[in-house]
Amino acid sequence: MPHFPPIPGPPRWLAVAEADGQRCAGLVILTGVVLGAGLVKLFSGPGGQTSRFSLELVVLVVLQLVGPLIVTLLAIVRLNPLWQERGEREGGTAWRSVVLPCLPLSLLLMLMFIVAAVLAGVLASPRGDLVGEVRELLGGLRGIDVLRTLVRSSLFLVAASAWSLRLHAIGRRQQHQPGAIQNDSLMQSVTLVLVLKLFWIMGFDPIRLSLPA
Amino acid sequence: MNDSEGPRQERNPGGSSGLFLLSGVLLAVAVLMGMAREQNWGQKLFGLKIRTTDAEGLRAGMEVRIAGLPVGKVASLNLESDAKVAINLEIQERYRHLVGPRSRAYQGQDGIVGDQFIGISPDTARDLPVRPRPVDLPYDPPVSMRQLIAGWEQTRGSLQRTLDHTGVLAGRDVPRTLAEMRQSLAAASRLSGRLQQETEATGPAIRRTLGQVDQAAVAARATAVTAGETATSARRAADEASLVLGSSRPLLLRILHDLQTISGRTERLLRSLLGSEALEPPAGDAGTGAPLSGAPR
Repeated sequence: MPHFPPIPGPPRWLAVAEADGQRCAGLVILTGVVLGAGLVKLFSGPGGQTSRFSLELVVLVVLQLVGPLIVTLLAIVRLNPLWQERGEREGGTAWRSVVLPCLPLSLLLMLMFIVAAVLAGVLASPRGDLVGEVRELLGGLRGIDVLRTLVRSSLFLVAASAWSLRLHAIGRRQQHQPGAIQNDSLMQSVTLVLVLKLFWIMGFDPIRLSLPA
Repeated sequence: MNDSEGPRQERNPGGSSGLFLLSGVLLAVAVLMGMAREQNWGQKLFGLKIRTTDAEGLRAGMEVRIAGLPVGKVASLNLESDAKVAINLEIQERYRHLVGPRSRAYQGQDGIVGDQFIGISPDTARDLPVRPRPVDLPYDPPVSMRQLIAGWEQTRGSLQRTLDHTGVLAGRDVPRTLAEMRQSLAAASRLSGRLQQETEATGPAIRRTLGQVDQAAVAARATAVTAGETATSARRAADEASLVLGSSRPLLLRILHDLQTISGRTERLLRSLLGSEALEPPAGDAGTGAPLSGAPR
């Protein structure tokens, strides 16, 4: 019997991203479904808007207003205890298993959130031609808008994880209780994301009062 | 959702199934392929440009249609220095032959509240020339909603005035017209009664007169028949007389010739007798009696 060398597994940071993604994906998809369907029901019902306009508003809200914010906050809530644990276990090299996995994780979570919201909005719209709606939305999505949203989501999650890891290191040096460190880390990460969001929309990429083409 | 999952994952993070990453990548590929298909990524496009003074309702990304089917999209809108809006269209190259110099662009809409789009009337006679810059296309702007409402308001005012006038006219003239009509009907009824009385009175006389006229007509017809027969008889008699005259003419001519001959001989006889004085004329007739040679023949 010839001896085959063992197939190397994925890099550790990619395996961590997979595990973290499985931990967050359900909640993110559920939130996207609720947000998309709820907004379409709201706009096309009491709002009196057309189904197409309601779907465009969903895309606008998801891409430019709350998409990266919600995804990042959900990921922080779900992953902050793990970040603390990895910081405790790996010390100075913990960024490899905390910050680095956040890059693919945030991209895929954000993409799932967008698709979940759009599909739920299409299913909730009163229009019958669901495939036609999806095609029209895909035809109207600008690649640059999607790319900006993905980049923003990655930036937020990477910054939040790095900040959480830094707080853990400081707390350990100052002999704080793990519970207090985790509490401070959660609160400051959320605050950091909100500040980054404010900075983004005020200085870098202002919200346009027009629907994405 | 509890935190006990964290340490369990941390103990064996590489043993996961890869479901999240795999499904995420597949989702990303599907979204990219969908966007590429719907947005015609990688397809060759050619540019058209239209200019208008009012770009209301137009926006980038709007569909461009030929014969109702999408063939491209609005790429951009730019406000130029002369306050006109330049609208750049991107059309798929394979539909270039449907756009010609006589094509025109217009703004359309699906139904009353549907999506708006830019339509291009097809011109298959000649293709557009291939130019590096977008080709200008004439544009028929849509009817302005403000103008439409103003026109509607004007029409409504005119209609209201017409209705007012009609109301006044009906209130003033219709009763008078009805009264006059009623009087006219009464007069017509009276006239009809008189006409009936007169008809009853003059009916028998008219009937008798008509009978006499019939009899006179019958007599006239009989007279005409008789006159016709008389004319036929006269024509026949004339024909017979003409025949008789024709047949007796040579005889008469011979008789006249014989009479002339006899007269000539008689005259010569008389002259001979007078010349021999065997026969003297009477004395009393010497001055009055005409010579025999001068007597008419």
